Amino acid sequence: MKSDLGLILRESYKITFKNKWLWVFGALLIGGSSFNFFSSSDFSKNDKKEFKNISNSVYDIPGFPISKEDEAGLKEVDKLLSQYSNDFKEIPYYSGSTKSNQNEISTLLAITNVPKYYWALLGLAFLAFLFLMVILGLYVKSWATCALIKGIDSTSQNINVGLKEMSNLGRPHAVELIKLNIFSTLLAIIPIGLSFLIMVISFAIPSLTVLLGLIGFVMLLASFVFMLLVFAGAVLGKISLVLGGKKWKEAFVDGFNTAKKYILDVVILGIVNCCIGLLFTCLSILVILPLVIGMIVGIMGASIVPPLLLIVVSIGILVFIGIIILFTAAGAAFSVFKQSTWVLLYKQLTQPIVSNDIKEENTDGK
Amino acid sequence: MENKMYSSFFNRLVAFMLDIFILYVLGALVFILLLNSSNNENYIGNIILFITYILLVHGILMLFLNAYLVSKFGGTVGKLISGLNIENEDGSRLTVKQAIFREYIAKTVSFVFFGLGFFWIFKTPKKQAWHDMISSTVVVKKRNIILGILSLILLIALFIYLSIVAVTSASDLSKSFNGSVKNKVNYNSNPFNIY
Repeated sequence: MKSDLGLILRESYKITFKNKWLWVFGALLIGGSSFNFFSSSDFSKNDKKEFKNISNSVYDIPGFPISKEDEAGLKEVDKLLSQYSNDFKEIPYYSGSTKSNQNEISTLLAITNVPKYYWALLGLAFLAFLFLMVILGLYVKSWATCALIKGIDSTSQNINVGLKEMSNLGRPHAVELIKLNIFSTLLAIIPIGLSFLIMVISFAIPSLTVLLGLIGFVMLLASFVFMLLVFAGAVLGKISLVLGGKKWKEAFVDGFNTAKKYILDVVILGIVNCCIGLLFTCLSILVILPLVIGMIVGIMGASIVPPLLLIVVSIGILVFIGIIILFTAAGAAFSVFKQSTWVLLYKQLTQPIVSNDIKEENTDGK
Repeated sequence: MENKMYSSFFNRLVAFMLDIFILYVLGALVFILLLNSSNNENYIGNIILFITYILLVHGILMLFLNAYLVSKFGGTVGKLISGLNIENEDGSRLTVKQAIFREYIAKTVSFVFFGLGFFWIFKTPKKQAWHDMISSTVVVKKRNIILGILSLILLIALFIYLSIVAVTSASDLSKSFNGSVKNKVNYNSNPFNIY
């Protein structure tokens, strides 16, 4: 192992608390994941379910849809039976059923009446909006990453930088970083997709099922290892891109080669970061859970005396906001710490780094 | 050297609210227009048109329009009414690229930590929020805010009035729609339900 893990963790901790402006970009990187419009929610699932129910039940309604001939015939029948039908309305079960059917029919009628080009227009507008938001989201995330890497680098060299300096230093690399991110994601995903494809094909050809299945399985395992290497390469490539001012291709190759050469260092740091993240999550749960239980018990207890309830709910809301702010700050700090570890690792692997403590000692000695 | 009057937090809040309420009033007007042209058969079509309008105008067009206004005139509509100007620290106008960066990229920084970045206006000598610091801009006060405040009051009142009109129109449409469907359902399904 070339890197000094203890030194990296110590330095990263110092950098995290030395310059609080880094936290702002750290917080942006936590929020970066929220620029995701593809996640399915229960709401949409319920909507689909509801729509399915509507479409099924409409066809269960007798007489719907009806033709013009049926309509003329029905007019006659209706005249004859209007008295009976009025009597039936008095029956509660019948009224409820009609009301429910009315709503279903009304929705379906209104939907079927919408011209097709309205839907096309809505689809286009939605796609355009989505495209714009994704582009903005990608840019914000890349810019924040670049600014953070530059900020960490400067802080590690005892240069104090603010928001403006970090942003200005990071901005020129943001577009290249987007390219690197897209390329590395595709490079990691394509082999896995191919492996799955081979495995699917193996089922279609009975004579080659075992052979192709085995090839697909081996390829899948190899793809996962390759994916790990690509992601490690991308992490180091990002740092190489920002600190070295390289183009995305050159930076990726550099990062990939470094990750390949020092795979043990990279994997160990990745595991350590994962463990710290896990610890952070466990601590968060340990802090949040008693507070939430306390709030629920407090509200339940205070509900007996209405004026007290108002006070307890107000305090509860304030505590809730406080918790969110606290965890945003803690998440931001962790984000900075994690990025610092990678920056310091890259610097140790590519050039020997001297600890600030050692620097200070040397200065004192002189 | 020219003595600049930097805009206070309150003035910027008024300008921001103005921008928001201009969009709300526009949205309410479009909504009422579509409601009034709705009948029992095309109301969902009109809802779709309204969502399309929100996505296109409020979501996409305003992004470019605001950037254009900032680079051409020095501020969004709200800021211009309130007599505020956005400019570079050296006093020059922002380019469209700079304006997009300030309005839609740098502002995300001010919004993290529950909008803490905006409260930096109280702290810095040039009354800069985090997004101003990042994009090297300042917001300068050119004249009194009174026109902005009056416009905001007027817009809020107009919005409340339009909301009441919209709710009343929607309620009328819903009543007429339910009545019409009820008749249709009774008419179509009763003969069969009897047997």
